[in-house]
Amino acid sequence: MQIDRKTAPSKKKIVIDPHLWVDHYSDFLYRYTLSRISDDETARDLVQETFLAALESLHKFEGRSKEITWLTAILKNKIIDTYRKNSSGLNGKMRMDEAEKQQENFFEKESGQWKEEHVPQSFSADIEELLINEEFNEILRGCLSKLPPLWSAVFTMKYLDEEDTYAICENLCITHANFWVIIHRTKLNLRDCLQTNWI
Amino acid sequence: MNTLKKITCCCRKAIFLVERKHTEGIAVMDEIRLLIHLKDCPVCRIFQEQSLLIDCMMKRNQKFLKDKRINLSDDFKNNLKGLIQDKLVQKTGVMGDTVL
Ligand SMILES: [Zn+2]
Repeated sequence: MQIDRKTAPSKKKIVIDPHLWVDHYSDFLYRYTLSRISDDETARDLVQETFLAALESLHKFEGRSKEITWLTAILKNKIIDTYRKNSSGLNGKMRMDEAEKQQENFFEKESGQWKEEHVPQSFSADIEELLINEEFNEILRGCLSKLPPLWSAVFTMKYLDEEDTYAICENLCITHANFWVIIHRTKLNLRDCLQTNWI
Repeated sequence: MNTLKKITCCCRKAIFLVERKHTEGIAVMDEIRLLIHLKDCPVCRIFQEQSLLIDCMMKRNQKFLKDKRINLSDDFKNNLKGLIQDKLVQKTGVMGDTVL
């Protein structure tokens, strides 16, 4: 069968209208940021910066993706930049060496067995119920926000964005081995924090 | 029994294997090590269950995205619209749409 090029539909022109961005996309982008960065003020700043950066690079928008996809990609890069910046600062969060030290305390040095005060205990509720329990989820968010910034960045990218391990390592400038140590320590820490605040 | 001793591991190692197993997978030998450990260690079994719970909660957090109660304030939005408008005027000198 021959394809008549003359009758092929002409490429549709894509109209970008920045006047509508705020009404159409700002709440979505705000929620997107808040689910990755717990600080409200930073989240709002990032949404604003995203729109302004997008205006600067309007000429680069090739119309291959939807406006919202393009804006989200810009925002995502900004979030990663923030992760990077935060991982060198503290902002009232736990220092990495403190967190590491705390973790060594979870196990007996010689035997590698759990220390009594950190032994995992049952959350004494049905797992399915806990999963949707708002209070429990709130505690988890609280625990996440106290982590060293690099840890929460790695953890959030792994679970929330389901990013490829190698992409995370590259974006956050860490080695693959380091990635695993961080994931492992974060999990230990979060679980312990949940236990402390829930039971 | 001695051979069994050699392939068992401590809790510290076991929970490291738990994490890796559920993400990237682990070597057969480690898998056996972990199985033997978990069989005899109820505490690490609790850890494993709760670790998976945290994974699910993290993924579920995506729903946050659809939570219509979380919105920017009207003040913030209006201010942002103003900023965009200024920038557009500054850039193009016109108020119209950009057509690609
Ligand atoms: Zn154990």
